[in-house]
Amino acid sequence: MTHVSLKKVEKFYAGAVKAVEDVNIDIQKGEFIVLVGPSGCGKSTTLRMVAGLEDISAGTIEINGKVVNDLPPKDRDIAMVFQNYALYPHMTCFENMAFALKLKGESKAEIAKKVKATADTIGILHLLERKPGQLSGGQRQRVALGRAMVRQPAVFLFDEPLSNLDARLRVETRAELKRLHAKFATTTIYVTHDQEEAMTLGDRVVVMSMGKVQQVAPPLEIFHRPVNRFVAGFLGTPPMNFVQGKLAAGGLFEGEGVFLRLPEETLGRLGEHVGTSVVLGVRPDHIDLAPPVAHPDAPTARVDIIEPLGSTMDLYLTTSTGYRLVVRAPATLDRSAGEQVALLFRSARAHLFEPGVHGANLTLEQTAVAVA
Amino acid sequence: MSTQNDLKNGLIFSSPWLIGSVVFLGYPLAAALYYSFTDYSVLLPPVFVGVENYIELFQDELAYKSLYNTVVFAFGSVVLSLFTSLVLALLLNNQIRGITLYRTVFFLPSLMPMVASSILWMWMYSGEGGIINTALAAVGIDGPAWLADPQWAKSAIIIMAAWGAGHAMVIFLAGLQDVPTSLYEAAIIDGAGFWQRLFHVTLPTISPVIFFNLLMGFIGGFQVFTQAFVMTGGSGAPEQSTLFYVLQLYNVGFNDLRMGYACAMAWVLFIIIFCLTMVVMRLSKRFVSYDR
Amino acid sequence: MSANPLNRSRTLVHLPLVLLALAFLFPLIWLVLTSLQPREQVGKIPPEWLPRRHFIEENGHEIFVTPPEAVGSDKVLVLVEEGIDRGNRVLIPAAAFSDGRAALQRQEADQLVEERVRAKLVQSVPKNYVFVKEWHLSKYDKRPARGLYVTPESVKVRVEPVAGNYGESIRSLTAGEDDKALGLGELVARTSFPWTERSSPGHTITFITYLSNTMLVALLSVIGTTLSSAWVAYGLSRVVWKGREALFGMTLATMMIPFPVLMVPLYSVFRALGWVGTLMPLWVPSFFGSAFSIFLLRQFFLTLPKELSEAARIDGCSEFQIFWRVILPLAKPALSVVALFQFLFVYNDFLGPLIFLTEPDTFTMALGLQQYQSQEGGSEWHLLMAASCMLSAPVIALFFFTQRTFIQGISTTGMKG
Repeated sequence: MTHVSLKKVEKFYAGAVKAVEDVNIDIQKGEFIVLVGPSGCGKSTTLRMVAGLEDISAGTIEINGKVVNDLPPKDRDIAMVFQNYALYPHMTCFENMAFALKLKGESKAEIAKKVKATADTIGILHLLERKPGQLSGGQRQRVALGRAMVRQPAVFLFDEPLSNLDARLRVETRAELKRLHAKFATTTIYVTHDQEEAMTLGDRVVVMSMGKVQQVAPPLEIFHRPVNRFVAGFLGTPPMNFVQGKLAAGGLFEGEGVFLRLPEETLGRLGEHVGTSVVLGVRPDHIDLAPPVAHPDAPTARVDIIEPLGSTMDLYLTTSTGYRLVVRAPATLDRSAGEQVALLFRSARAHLFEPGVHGANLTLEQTAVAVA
Repeated sequence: MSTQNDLKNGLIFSSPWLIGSVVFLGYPLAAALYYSFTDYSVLLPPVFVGVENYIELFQDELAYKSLYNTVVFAFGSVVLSLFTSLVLALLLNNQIRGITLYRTVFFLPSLMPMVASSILWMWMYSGEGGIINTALAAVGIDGPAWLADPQWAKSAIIIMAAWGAGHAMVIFLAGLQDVPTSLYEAAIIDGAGFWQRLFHVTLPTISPVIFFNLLMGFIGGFQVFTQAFVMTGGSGAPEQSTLFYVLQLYNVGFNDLRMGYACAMAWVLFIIIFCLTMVVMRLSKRFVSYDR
Repeated sequence: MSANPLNRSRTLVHLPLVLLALAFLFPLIWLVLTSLQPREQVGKIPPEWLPRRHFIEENGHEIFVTPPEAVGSDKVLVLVEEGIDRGNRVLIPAAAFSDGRAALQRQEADQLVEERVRAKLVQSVPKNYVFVKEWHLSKYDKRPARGLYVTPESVKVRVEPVAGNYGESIRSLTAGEDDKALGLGELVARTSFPWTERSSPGHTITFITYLSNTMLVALLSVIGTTLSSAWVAYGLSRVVWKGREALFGMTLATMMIPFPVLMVPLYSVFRALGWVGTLMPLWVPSFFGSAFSIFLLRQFFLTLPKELSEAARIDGCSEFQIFWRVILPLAKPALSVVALFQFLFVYNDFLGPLIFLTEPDTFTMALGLQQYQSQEGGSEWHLLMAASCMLSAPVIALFFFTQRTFIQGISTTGMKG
């Protein structure tokens, strides 16, 4: 059942480019949707339009089957958690959580009951009499969450709620959020610029760039089957290697001292692009390295720097034309800086994109349509 | 519930000030301009007389005298007060012990109601038994008659103004405390001595504050009134040496009931202060470093 | 750390600071000392620092007296029993009294007339005796004063402040006859309704009246400025609307308009409204905001994260509720700065009251003190100093209680660059 629906939603300011353009997302009840993208991609604006904090320039937003375009935030049955938590500094945590209920005119006893119950669920009962200034970052985050939960809204909106936390707390809280969502199954829209959060939290991930939705899909599909170069490059660490080159007959890609033959099943789709400029995309973990002697036919590159990461390591390579590549290899791989290595591409995992930042993925079967 | 252009709420919240600024600022300013072209006594409706008031004003020796007095006072008090407050602030900005106590001592005089401090200084400047001249005599100086001497009356009021320099000092001190320590440390490493640090680090860095105090000092100095009114009962004695511009304006308007003429004086004052502000702002653009 | 050249001069700095501090304190000390001196000590050449009082002992009681005046030669004090001086006590040379008769000299037309009248010896006054009079606070003290001839040794001096100067200055600021102060209710009534009839002419105007006028104006205009400026500053900082920046620019520009430029038209406006002679011109405008306060509060409001308003909006607040329940409670520090500055401005203001207050019963303290001073014309300095002390005391006390707010407030005003 569709719970939140964005139809052709746009946001533009007079005399400026569109901040959000033609966004269409249908969110199911209980679904956890993550909007991800670089800063300025329009993800926060989209969330704020759902919240009612920004006017909707065009299109409609429905919550629970009701168009909410002209409803004030309080009537949209939503609650929001802000990046800086936005707790009222002059109120105790209890008062912070009770504020919305009080404005709604609920009875004191009812409010106290609800606040205590929520505080108990997320383990902040002992903080209720304190003011936000007396709390640590993690505690404030919890109170902000509690303030949203106590209203039992139809939809939770999160605007980068974890980015003010230190790395360890962020991971912990992420897991906590996932647990809570599993328990209460409240529809959630979550904005982040952190791809890791997007991948771990989202039932589906919406990748946005320059005000447009690039792809809407479950995390692994986004990772393995990116619809365009932007999505491919945005997700994954280190980011995907992109190599400019040409597609020759027989699915042979060549460019920047790198060449590989693409798998046969893709040739049909690539046919019309033979002879044109394309961009090869290969993730760092999809290149194997070998001694050049063992693979005289493979392209080679020189190892510049090795960054050991424990169980894996990143190798920074330069091809014969001076082009730079990154390869992630098992830590056991015995290579040292200055050596020449042969590059063995896992061609089944390689993608070809049209030129340009948002170039479409040519290797993908056309079921998923690139929006760009 | 528009959050991008909420004209309704904008106007609701601004309305008191919109009304207030029109009624208590805009209208009086415009009315003053109109009255300045009339013969107006408040008791009777104004009678239009063209530029007569201005013609008379430009030939009015008393007005010139009062303007001269005011300019002397404004420059004298700005220079002396600015210097005093800056020196005090520089001395206090040394992370010394007892800074709060010193600051309180220097600041207190600026808090005193002008009427009270004027009476106090009259008493201190007074005749032969005045405490100031007694103190001067103790170190072998034969003090002047101060407020009774046309040569010295303005200086007396300027000195009194410097006594109230604590307000500017607090502003300077805040500016000085904003100068990053790393800047001084860098200067020391570069081999700058005390004076070089003062002229190449401290003063340039607090230049916006200096200009702010300068501007406020001038605007305030041109409106000097209460001291002279209290000390001379409004006459500007002796020999009109403390007849300041606003004092003369008050006398013309509220004693002689020549409100039209007073308004002409008022508008000339407004233009002077306006031009002065523009000049100071210009200068500040050239000399002040705002990039921090 | 002591090797740091920045630290080296630190102790040296105290010397000029102490000297300057003494110079700045000097007038204040002189103010307080003068206010505690007995009348006759004030204006002495050379001036004396500490208040000293003369007294004699009579029947075991101490009586304060004026400083002794030498008699010079042997004299007698006699009570005249006939002639035009009958009933008077007269001091005459000892030689002029004999056989129960005193030779009195009197100027008549341009010649000296001497007559011998019957008289009774009251006291013989040897030449080393001195004359003292029972001491009075001021010329307003109308009680009869006895003159006494005593030995110089019996007049003693000690350092003792005359706290009574304060009470006396309060009494002498009274312009009317009977000591009936106005009730606050009466005062508010006259403040708010200028058209109601004044109470009977010649009623008492006292220091208390001045004080309550001042406090009433200060209170009303502090409330007015704080509330209205916060209200307007909210509109200029936390509501997004077209024209906001223009209005703010205009607000800054109005700070440049000097009050003297506006005072004539303002006077005629208030006169037309019938407000001249009431306190209303001094506080009513404050309810429409003041540019300076609006500026200060706007700067503060801008520092509060906009997410607070958004969270409140999602929680169901109207714009007014955001202002009242979220922003205002958070702005307490800035509001107290504005309130403090406004209080200080109103309390110290002189030109405004001078123009708009025409009736002595509406005078503020500053104006009342100035009027008193101008009547006195440079005498009774001890009372003027006492009154000046009392006028200054509230602001100085206020400073000590709110020092931090004060200093922070002033510091921020200079920082706008």
